[in-house]
Amino acid sequence: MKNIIKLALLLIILNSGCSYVSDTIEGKISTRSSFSIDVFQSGNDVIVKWDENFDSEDFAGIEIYRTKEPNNEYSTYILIENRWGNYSLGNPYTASFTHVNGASNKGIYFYRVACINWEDSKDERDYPENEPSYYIYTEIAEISGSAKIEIK
Amino acid sequence: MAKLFFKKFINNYKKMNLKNFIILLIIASYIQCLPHGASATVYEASDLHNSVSRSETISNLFIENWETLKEENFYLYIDGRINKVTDFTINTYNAGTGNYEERKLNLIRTYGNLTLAMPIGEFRKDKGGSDLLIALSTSGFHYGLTGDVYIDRGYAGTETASDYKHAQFFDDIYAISVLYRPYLTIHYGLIVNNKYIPNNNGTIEYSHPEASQTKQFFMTEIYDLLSFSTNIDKNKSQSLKFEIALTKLFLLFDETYKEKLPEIKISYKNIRIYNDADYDPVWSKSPFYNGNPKDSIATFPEDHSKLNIFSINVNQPLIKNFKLEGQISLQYINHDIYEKNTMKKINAPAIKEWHLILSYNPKIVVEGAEQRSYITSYIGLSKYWDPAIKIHRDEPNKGYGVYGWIIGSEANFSFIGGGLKAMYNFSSELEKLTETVDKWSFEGNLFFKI
Repeated sequence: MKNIIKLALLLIILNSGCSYVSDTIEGKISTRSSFSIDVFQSGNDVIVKWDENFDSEDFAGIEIYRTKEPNNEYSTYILIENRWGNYSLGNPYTASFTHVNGASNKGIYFYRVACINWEDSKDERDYPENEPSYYIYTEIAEISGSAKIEIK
Repeated sequence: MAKLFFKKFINNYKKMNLKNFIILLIIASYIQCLPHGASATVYEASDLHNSVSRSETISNLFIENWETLKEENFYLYIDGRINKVTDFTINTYNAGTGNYEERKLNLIRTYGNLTLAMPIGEFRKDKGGSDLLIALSTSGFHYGLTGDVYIDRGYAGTETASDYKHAQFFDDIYAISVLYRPYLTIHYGLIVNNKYIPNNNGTIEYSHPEASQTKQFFMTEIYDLLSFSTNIDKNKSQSLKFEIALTKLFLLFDETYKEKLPEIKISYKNIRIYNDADYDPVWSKSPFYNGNPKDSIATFPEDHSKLNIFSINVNQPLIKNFKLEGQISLQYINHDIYEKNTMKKINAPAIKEWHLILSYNPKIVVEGAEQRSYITSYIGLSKYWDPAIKIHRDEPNKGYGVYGWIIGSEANFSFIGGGLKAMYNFSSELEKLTETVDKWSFEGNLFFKI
């Protein structure tokens, strides 16, 4: 009880506004985009880079998405790659991805990167951490803002 | 490290206990300070950009919270609420086409409050007793539009994420309160208004507000009979309010009709709300300056109009746990106001707002907490007039006045409680944000108290 009061007092003293706290919680519930990524073209490939550490007990993988339609920022994003197609995306410290032949179609595209977590905490997972389970028991824990690339 | 800890809590938020929830709040408050990665488009709106109106909203919410807290003995109180208004069709830039396009966005409003109270000595044993409390509070309101992002994860199905879109507003009060119950209450605080423009990628850099203002807030209440509150900006009062609890005042002299009389309160409030700003819905005093339309001149001395509101509020218990609450507010604007697009004078009606709320409050008994526990369901009807309504409603030719309704339910089990409500054009919601006219609004809240 005393510790709770000390922590609450610290929050008030340090001027951490409740508007930010409540928005952060809502942002987590609605999976608000929370970090930035960079994309650039390298020959016929597209390189995606980010600077986030996704390490946690619940980490399940990293996924890369791109807009389905060219020249439309608000098109649905489709999966480009996950850890089952690219081994490095199973490492939480991975910070870049090469979309091979990503520059083969002309147009403006948008990329995003997501950290995927297992839905249940480690001690409550009663399923193997394999590919079939991944498709059933995972969810987006964090997602980047969009990054635009114009392929000419 | 803190981010990982927070992630774990979010994934388990359904199983969260109070201690974890508080730690989560504290960690979350720092996560938003982490760096993210220049500037998007802005859309024109009235109340959202009006810091006078927003300061009024956050200070009203602060007072509303204390209306229930002032009678209770507690050390820590945490309240959070999320309000969502869907189907905001806004012209939004599409970086793929290079054009502005109509896009349906959601208006998200979140509110949080954390109050820490310390008795000097001991808490009073009953309402008749007296005690001295000192409390520190922080309350905040975030307003902003978000857009849904659809993610097709292949075999894992489709998920929805969200991006910040257009300007985002964060208003907070940091206050200290002294309560010498039941005689005197004093609240003093700072109101901080921050406005952010999200990055083009949908994220925000919280360390770089586009605009920031700090104001003062003061409120005092004497013996639950008289209250006075004001918001001060640069040593000038932006708004002030007086309220008298007429029935309680009468009962001080004669308690004969204590059970029969309705609870009546009268109040007077004034707000310097029309200031010829870009985001204001009207021109004050005149649409012209030196014979030229104000909107054709880059700079001109701003005119100001003050909105004066006189209200009477009545609470009347009815039969079998039913209660009726009604309010009517009369308005007087001290200068003429004019539509910005037609430059026509607006004739403000005498009645600014009225509402009626019928509530059902069955008696419940929760072991050890029966004193302050209740479940209330309510339904209400209202009418609200505001010059901004015509601008934001679906069919502007319907004018400045609008009928609305509300339905909701709330529960208070002493140490925990919450509520849910649905509103459509209800006056208290439009008073907070006129942009919500002709849109559904849904709100949920949850509180903990120790």
